[in-house]
Amino acid sequence: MYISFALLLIGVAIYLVFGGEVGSVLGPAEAIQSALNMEAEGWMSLGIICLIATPLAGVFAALVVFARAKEFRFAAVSLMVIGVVALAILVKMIA
Amino acid sequence: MDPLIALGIVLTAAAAGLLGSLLGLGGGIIIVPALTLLFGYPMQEAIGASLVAVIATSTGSASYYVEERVSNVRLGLILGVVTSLGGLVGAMIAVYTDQYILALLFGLMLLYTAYYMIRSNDSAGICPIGPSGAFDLSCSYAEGEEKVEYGVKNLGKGMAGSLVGGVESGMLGVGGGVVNVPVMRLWMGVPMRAACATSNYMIGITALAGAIVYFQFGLIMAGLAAIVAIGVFCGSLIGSRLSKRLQGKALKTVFSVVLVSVAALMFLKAMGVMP
Repeated sequence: MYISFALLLIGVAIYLVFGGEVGSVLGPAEAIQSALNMEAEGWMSLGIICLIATPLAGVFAALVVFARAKEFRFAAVSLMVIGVVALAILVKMIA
Repeated sequence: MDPLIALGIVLTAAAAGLLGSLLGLGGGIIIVPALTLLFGYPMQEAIGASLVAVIATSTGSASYYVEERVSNVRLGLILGVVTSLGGLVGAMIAVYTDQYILALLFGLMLLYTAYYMIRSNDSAGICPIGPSGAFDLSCSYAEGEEKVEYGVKNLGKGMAGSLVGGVESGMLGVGGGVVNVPVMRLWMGVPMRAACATSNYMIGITALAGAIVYFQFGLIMAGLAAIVAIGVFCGSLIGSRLSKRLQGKALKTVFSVVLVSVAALMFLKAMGVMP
């Protein structure tokens, strides 16, 4: 989470110093490219992507912990949450 | 974005984070009306930014509660399946819904929250330890020197209720705690502290599904979401320090009045009277 905030703060600082256009959050590849060009939009997008990914990382951690403890029912539940997230990623294509 | 407007949004988000942590609410309930009524953002963009803020506040507090073993992670994951599914469905509905209808629904949700804050009771019994269907979700946590042990009942009913919380979250950009906490407390027999902590854990997962949908549709504006997340994070840090010193009840009553007033403004927006 602190990494996300550091990225967001860098983005805001670049915007305040250099200005620039900031629109919708960019996809991961575009965000990295934009950040390498020292654009505020890229750093802000990376920060938001990291932030959004944090709860997902927690679910993956739960999956590993339950699988190691042989609690397969709860590992399956963790996988179902990950499945819903995957569905959310694909939903625009489906729609 | 004009620097003064940006400063105004950061301060508003900080106030939302502060009040949210004092009152046990996600900041979305303040952020969405503020962004639409004060700063003129469309409902969908305000909701997108709010979902990012909800994830920020949930991540911070959830890690504390999980470490302290107050969150029931097993229960949170099971309910998280349906809340995230609800969040996804709610977000899809919101993307295709007229913003005036969303304003109307948000106003109704504010009225319910005001009612919930005044009425909230903690008199329901705590479920004894034991399995709930195929899953044993019994858990315990330390309350001072005492160990509180509890089971979980009515899992199916709880999942149905949480689905509503998920749809509310994805559709209106809030955490869904005002639905999840009473569902766990009153229907499932979970103690209040564990219900709040588990809800905190769940709302990050719920908002995640909704936020991904808004992201896919280009409705999360990077600059707006960034300053809202920074503001909420700072506000909730201050709020968590103040919460030990302030008494909640008077604050809750005052805040309920504020919520009813904001609901009235949202209804005016829904009718097209406000821009």
